[in-house]
Amino acid sequence: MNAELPDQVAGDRRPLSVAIIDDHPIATESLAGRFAGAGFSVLAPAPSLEALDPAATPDVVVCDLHLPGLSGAAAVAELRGRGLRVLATSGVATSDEVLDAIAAGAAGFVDKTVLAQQFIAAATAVAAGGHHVSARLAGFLLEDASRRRLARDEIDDDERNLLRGLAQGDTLDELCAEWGLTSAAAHRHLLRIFDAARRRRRLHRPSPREAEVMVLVGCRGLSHKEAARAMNVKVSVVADYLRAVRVKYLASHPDAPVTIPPSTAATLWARELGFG
Amino acid sequence: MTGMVGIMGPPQDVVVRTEQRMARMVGYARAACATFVLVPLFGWDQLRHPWIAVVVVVAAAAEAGWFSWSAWHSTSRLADRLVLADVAFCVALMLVGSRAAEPGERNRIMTELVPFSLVAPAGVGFALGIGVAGVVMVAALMAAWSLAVLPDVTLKLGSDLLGFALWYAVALLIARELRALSDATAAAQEDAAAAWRLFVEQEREAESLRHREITHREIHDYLLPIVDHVAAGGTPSAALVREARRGAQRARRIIMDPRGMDPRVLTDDTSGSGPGEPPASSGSDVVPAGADRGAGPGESQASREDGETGLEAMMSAVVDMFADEGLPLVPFVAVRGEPPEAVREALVAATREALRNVMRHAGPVDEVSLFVEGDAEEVLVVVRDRGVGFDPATVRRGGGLAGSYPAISRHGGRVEVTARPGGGVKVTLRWPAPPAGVPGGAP
Repeated sequence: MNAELPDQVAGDRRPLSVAIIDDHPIATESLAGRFAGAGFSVLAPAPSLEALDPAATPDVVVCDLHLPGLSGAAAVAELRGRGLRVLATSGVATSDEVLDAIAAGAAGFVDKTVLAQQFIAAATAVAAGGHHVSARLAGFLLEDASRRRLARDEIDDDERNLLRGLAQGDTLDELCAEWGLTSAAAHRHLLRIFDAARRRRRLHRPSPREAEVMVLVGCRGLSHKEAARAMNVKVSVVADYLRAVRVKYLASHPDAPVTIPPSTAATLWARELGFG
Repeated sequence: MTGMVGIMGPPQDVVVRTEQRMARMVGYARAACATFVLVPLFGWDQLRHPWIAVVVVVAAAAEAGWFSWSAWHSTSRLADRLVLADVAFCVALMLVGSRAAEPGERNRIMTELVPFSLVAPAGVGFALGIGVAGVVMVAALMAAWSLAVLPDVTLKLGSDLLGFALWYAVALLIARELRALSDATAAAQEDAAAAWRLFVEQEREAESLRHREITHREIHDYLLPIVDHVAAGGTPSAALVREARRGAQRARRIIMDPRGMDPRVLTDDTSGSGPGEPPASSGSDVVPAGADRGAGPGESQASREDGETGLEAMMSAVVDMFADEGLPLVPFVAVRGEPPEAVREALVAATREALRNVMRHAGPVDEVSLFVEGDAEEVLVVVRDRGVGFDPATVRRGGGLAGSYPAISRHGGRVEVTARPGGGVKVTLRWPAPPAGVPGGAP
């Protein structure tokens, strides 16, 4: 399966392979060098998702969230569709962008600015089927959990405390050692945390069809009828989507006036989310 | 007349819905007035052809049911053909139904056909409005009743005919009022929508203008000098690296949250152009960060209490300030209630001191986490770096860090500093102090 295997003299342990998708050569080069230095086999750097060999099966893909072409959560979803494990990274992603990437199936997130050491630990964990929660991601997850509570299967106090510890800058290993937690138990907690984060996103973010209506009506200024024709649905369905968007918008924007018309909510939210 | 829904935008919705409701009103009247035709059955013995009265009841019930059902399910204005069919039915009902009684008795026993038929001109008024077609239909109804009672013409016939004319006239007036109301509502909704669109557009323009100004200023002041320096082959120095870090942090903040960038005047001396020393002054006497936002010293301004001197706002200002100086902060700030003001100020001052110490002593760090969580009863602040750390055995803990830490203890809190050489430093501020015996480096 892995062509580089014979080069490795260090016994029977196959080196982990990593693919890096990033359109900034400066970032890619230094990161690739560090991964290689840590014993990874590094695939040819891809400046975009389209440039990644579709037949490649790296153990982990480090994917920047701002790419030319397919980008962000859509890029993560595409990689997950190919059965690949994804570690998302970015220097500038907002909380929503990062959480969308998690919802799309990324198993972790690291800031692009961190030293190679954390990158390598994160990629190793993700390649092994685990998760990596950086301090920033832990903060995003905590804030998301307190702002948008789930009606059922919400993360429990142990999991909240785990996130609090991670947000305080402790590593998962340090927390396990401090609390006498086995790594299997920590893994289970992280699985539940990621699952809850995904469900939270599904409930509180616009669905793909709602997003389409937001772009058509909110960004391009189409009338209901024009939008209905573009989407090949009835006018009343467009109105229903807009009302659903308004409900979700009000839920995540407690300061917004409750009298806000659905199309205005769609416009404001679409702009905030960078649609269109 | 039908198919109006398709071309309507949302404000026109109210117009269509009003027409639907008007159609239903006629449907209600039609259903209610159908009960009148039962009355002649109680005069069974006086009827010449009782079976005709039975046919009248059955036919009227069927017609009224069909009419009401159609009107209820109307998607817009009451349909012309529905009204036409109703008028034709009433004409037939009066001509045929009246035959159930003796010629001299029709005006008495079978007079209940009139209240049933009076609904027809109301439907004509709602559906057709004023016009020749409407007048012709009403005339047909009047003629039909006149013929039905023919030999027995009395003053009562006059009031019956007036009834047909008045129901038509009153329906015209009611329809006009309701339509004026729905048009006015639609116009108001359209105005409101237009005002919202304008508001959104203006907001967008103002924001993009502000964004452009901020971006322009930040690039000019913080990024361009560094890039120029490197492009000109300038030698990398500690000062350049520091400036580059600061530029990177500021650029990152513009990209991530331009709205969070208020034009601010930094009180620290680093806002100058030269890559000078990071501010080396001890954090203890620095102006509270909240004051940077122009609110003034603030504690007397009760109305601004929460916004400007709330713990979350104060901590956010600290985050902004250190991020501007290039510290790679990963902040988490969640405050759900306000501890006493003196405690807030002591916590913020101690947090600034901890972060200042990271800048001065930790060496190059790629991530510093600041965790703030609390409410009115308790607050936890953790500042954690992975820098060079220090050896607790050789450095007196808390000693070299004099200044604002003791203030935390004075207000009933506790400061813990844990460090290892090479393992970074973790400063934990707790208020109030946890009970003795809680794990974690006791002072």
